[in-house]
Amino acid sequence: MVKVTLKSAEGDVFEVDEELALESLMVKNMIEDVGLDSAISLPNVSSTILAKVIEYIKFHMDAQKDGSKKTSEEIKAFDDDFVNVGIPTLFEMVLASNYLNVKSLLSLTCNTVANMIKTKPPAEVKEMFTSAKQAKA
Amino acid sequence: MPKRKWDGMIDRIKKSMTHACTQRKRPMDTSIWSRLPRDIQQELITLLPIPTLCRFRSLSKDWHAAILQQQSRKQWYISLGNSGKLQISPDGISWKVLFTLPLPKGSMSTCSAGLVLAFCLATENFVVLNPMLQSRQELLPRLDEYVIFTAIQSVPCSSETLSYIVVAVTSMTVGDLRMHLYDSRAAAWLSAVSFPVPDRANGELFCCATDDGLNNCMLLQDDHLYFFTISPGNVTTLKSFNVWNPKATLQTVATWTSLPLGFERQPSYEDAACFARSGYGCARKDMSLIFCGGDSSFWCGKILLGMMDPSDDLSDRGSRRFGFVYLDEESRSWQAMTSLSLGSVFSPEIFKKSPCTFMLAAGNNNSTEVTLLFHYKWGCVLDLASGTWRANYWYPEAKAYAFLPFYPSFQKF
Repeated sequence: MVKVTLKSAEGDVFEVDEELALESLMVKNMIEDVGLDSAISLPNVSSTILAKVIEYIKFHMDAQKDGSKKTSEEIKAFDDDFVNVGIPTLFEMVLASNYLNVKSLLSLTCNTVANMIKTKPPAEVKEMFTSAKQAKA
Repeated sequence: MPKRKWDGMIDRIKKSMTHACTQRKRPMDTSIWSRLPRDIQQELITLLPIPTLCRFRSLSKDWHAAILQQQSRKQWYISLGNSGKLQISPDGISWKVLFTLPLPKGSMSTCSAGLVLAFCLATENFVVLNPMLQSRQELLPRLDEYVIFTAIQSVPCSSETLSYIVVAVTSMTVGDLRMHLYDSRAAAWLSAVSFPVPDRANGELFCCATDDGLNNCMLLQDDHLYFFTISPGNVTTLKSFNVWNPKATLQTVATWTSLPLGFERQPSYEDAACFARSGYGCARKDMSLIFCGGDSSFWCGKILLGMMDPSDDLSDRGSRRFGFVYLDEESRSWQAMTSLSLGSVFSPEIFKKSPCTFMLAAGNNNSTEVTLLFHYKWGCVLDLASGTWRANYWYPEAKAYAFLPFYPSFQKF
């Protein structure tokens, strides 16, 4: 199995299967352009977030494989648990999945944000966005 | 797209606006919302229900701007019932009442910028609404004339407020028509021109809609108003004139005696004459002039004519057909597009009722969808780009006057 080396913003190195890396259209384009010899640098994605994204892609790739025993309930449970994180992390994941161009993760995270805020009063949403900013800073 | 008379003015306004924008430095906003790329902001906004967006406009300047930008949101539908309830629906199945108009008159029209034009009998006046903002504006002064056609069109002006024009065609006596033009930038009816109506000496008759909501025998597209006339010998003519033209010089767009639809019998001069004698009636009750917008299909940017087979055979309405032709600009003739039997669109039980009236409306410049309201109650949507019927809706009120495509907008006017 061919491996691809991904380098996070902090410089941490993640070695993943090529098949997995290709799920990110952005990485796929990079591989087509520069080949597999050097590490692919992702300066916009932190190690924590990159680890999460890899975890997400890995789970869904396994779930789609023939012979996978995962039920749709299990997949949903994984997704629910996966996005059950703090607002700052969630937004970082939105940005990362947009940057890496992972469509399914982008729609999952965007939907989660939308569901979180749609019933809240504006003041609370405002606070949510501000606290996200402070946590980031 | 034909150049509009006001294009020069719009360009000037745009220029001064962009100038002003580059001059003014915006304060740094570091909230997480403004750090999100624009397409993500739009993605999130599309996922939020309309009522939520109404509340979130007050959140911050950036939210407000992002909500204003989402023009190309999924198409919704709007309907007006006989009780005056103005309802919107994302799918045509679940309706939400947004407004109740006192004594609405049948005809209503919408424009791509989310505005609705209706006529209230209570005040005998036109009212322009943005249902999303719950705002309304009456068009003053009142027109003390019998209104047979109305249309509203947005005029791109500035990003903050929305400008529009309204065209109303009125009738004093049979055949004596006037076109009125309202411009929101002037907040007044700008002009009233007498229609250079049909050459009555030669027996030419004007084909207009009745007042029962079938507001569709005329078409306002860009700055041109299109309408039909019919002459002895069943010669039908599609004419147009520029609404900004104070002399309303007529242009003949196409002339024909029959349409390539294969219908048994088409509306004839005799029908028109009979209706004309009876009052303001219409010989084109089952005929609609529509414009196909969008940008992806062959039909886009073309004028279409939708028509019901006018056969009087009531025994088998399900086999009644209706079809569409499009105007081929080069040969100035109508070309067949598609025809369908009513039975293939609607379920049979609705044909038990009579009469068979229908109205068609195209959404606007952005849409390739045509909505159809049958027997004041049954609606369906044809997507001209794919050629498929999308759904079969039942309007919950006793009688629906209008069933139109609608794009929610949050722009103030």
